[in-house]
Amino acid sequence: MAEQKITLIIDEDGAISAKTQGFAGNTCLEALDEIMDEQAVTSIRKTDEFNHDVVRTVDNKVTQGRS
Amino acid sequence: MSVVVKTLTPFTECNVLIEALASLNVSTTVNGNNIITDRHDYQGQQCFVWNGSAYLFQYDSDELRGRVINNAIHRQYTPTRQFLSQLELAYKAAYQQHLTRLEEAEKQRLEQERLARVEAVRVNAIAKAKAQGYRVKEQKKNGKIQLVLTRTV
Repeated sequence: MAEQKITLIIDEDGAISAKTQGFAGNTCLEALDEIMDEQAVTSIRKTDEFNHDVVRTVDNKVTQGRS
Repeated sequence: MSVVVKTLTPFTECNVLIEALASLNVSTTVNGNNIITDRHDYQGQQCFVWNGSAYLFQYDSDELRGRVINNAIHRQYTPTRQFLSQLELAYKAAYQQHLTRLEEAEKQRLEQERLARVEAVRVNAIAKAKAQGYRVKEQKKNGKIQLVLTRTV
């Protein structure tokens, strides 16, 4: 059983930055879509693992905030 | 005979004007759009009349009776020209305080909005995470909220 982990940081203005681990490929973005609200995503930083087909640890960071 | 005097500073704010008058120990009564003072002259109580954009001071040009009446109630009568000069300074000071209060109220409103926005984001994120089967751990770090969401698949 693999563990999926998302770390969300909500800053003082309500903007969110998120970091995912344990997702395969771009499923991390889908998982974040399910959790984060309609706030505009301002940047996505993909790590080396993002393009792996199946990975045990994927470390991707998404920053979301007011547009 | 009555006269209308215009000052350099327009008295546009009722509360500020009342505050300025109070600082000069002038009691007031608001009557409709007019501010009645406890200063007396030949015509009775002197007042500020709202003309649609500012308060204009109305008083009688014969101030002798005012002196007599005010002296009768053990209060020194300040001549109108001197009174308006003092009032103008007091009004400016009160207006600055008024602006400071508005600024403070605006700051508080923005802060309340910010707190509400952060709370809404937090509550929403937790609710959605739980709906997606995540366990949620919450921590506060340097004024920021950290949510660690984990699930096994």
